[in-house]
Amino acid sequence: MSIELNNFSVTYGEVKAVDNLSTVFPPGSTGLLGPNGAGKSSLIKGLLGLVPDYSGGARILGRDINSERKQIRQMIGYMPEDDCLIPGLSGVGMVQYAGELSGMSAADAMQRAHEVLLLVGLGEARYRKVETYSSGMKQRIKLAQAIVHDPRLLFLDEPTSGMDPQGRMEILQLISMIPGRSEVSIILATHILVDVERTCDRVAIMNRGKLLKEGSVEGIKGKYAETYSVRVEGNRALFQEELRKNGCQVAADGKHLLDVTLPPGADTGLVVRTAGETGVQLRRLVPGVQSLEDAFIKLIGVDEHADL
Amino acid sequence: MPIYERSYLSWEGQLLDKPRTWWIIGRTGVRLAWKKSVALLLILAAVPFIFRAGQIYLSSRMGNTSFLAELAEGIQIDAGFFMSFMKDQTFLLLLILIVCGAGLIANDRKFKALPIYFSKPVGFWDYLIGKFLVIVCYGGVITVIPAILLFIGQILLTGTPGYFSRYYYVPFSILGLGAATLVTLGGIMLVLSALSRGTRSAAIIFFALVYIPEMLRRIFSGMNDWGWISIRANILQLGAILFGLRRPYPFPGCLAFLSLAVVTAACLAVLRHQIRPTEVVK
Repeated sequence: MSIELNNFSVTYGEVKAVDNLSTVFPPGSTGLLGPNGAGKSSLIKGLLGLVPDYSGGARILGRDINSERKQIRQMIGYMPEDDCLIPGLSGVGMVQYAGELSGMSAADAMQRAHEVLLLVGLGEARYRKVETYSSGMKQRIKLAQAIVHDPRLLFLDEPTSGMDPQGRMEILQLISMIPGRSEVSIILATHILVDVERTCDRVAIMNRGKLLKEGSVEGIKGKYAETYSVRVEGNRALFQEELRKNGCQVAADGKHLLDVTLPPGADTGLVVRTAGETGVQLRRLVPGVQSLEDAFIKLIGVDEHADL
Repeated sequence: MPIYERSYLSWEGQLLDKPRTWWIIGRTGVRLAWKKSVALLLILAAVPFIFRAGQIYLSSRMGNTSFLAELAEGIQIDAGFFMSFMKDQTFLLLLILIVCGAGLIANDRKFKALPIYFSKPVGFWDYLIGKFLVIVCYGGVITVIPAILLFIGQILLTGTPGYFSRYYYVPFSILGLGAATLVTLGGIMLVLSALSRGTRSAAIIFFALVYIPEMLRRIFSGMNDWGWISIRANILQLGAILFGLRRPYPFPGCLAFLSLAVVTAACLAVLRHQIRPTEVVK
């Protein structure tokens, strides 16, 4: 497994950014999904020891984060969220420097720096000072410094933030290509669902420091596959009551829509029949969850309600 | 060319078990700190060295044969000579520290480079020693190294073992005073660099911290017992003890050492607090 968390928490003063997480992230690419402030970045920073106040246990690639931190940092690559640059260096100088700090010889680091800069699309700009780079180029150089030493686990924190659509697509294609070409696992923290759908096999949805759901992307979407969004004209209350009698779970979704979760084994015919029996006009009957975004909104919504 | 047309290739090499990251940081820092202004300061710093070297030459070679004999007689190449040279270099050392040191940590904080450093196998001490190495390199080039070269030159020119046997302790005194000066002043410079995001403010505060207590000490000349409030006075007091000279100030030598140690410890505490990969807003 790539990461094993055991009651892992990260706190900033009174605020608990990551709240007693216990889970396992298997090898492969996992998307850490959540709104701003969900604790995604804090989880990564806590695992790497970049924040002072964390508690609980965690193992990365089988090594303990408290006693084997330097060994872990040699095996991982980290692309921070902010515009982090090492001033005064050229692009190739910065990536070589990162490689040397990770334990590569100067010659190897230089050779590899050229390779990864070509890979991330900074071949032309590699001799320019990094301070002169645009936002998109800064994202690319951060990715280059993270992969220069061919890490076994790559932490990517909002890798496409500040990039134009073309650049975003290129970076996502590159990220999705990395695990296929070598034994690199990826943890991708983002609030952009499409990024996760495009690049990750698994997803872990976080909110308010807690893990709401994790599993394969298809599995998460499938959890809500039996839920339908329904709109009717007529006696809505009677329709709801009849659905409940037939074993459905019904929840109002705004003023006009109903979220209807069918009982096991039932199909949409049940909703159609109930509408006929209660004399309401069925205006809409579509699957409630069509994408990861829908699942995400459902989960976050459930979490918000739980806290109220 | 779109980047996805190229493939990600694994690297087949072997990473070093324990990379000397402090050395890599220091080496890169020295390279980055090299500017035209540094070169100019180093040339300026060479002038007193050449002057002192000339004095050594005069005193050892011109004593009997030249019209310069009278002048040469007035030159005493003793422990005080080397102490005096180190003292004269202090102002240039301050300038070098400002030019090379003010941006060492300030720029890393400004460009948020610390998360990159600390996501690699770099610890607090590796980072600090690496940055301090830059100060030691440029500071040493204008203080300790020329002083040692002058001492070697004196021994070579006198050509007798008597001088070395009398002043064998001078190289150690040079190293000791150089270390005390660089650790204290370098520590203050690093702290100011870590506290500010601009090199100019760090430079101004640095000068103020070194010279305002010294000015106060001179203004209140009757308060020489309070000389230990001045970093410069403490360094000179410690230097006099190390070189076996008469102490220039009436306060005890141990107080000078203690004062410098407290300043260094305070610097370390501040650096420990400031050098962290993530800004935590509580």
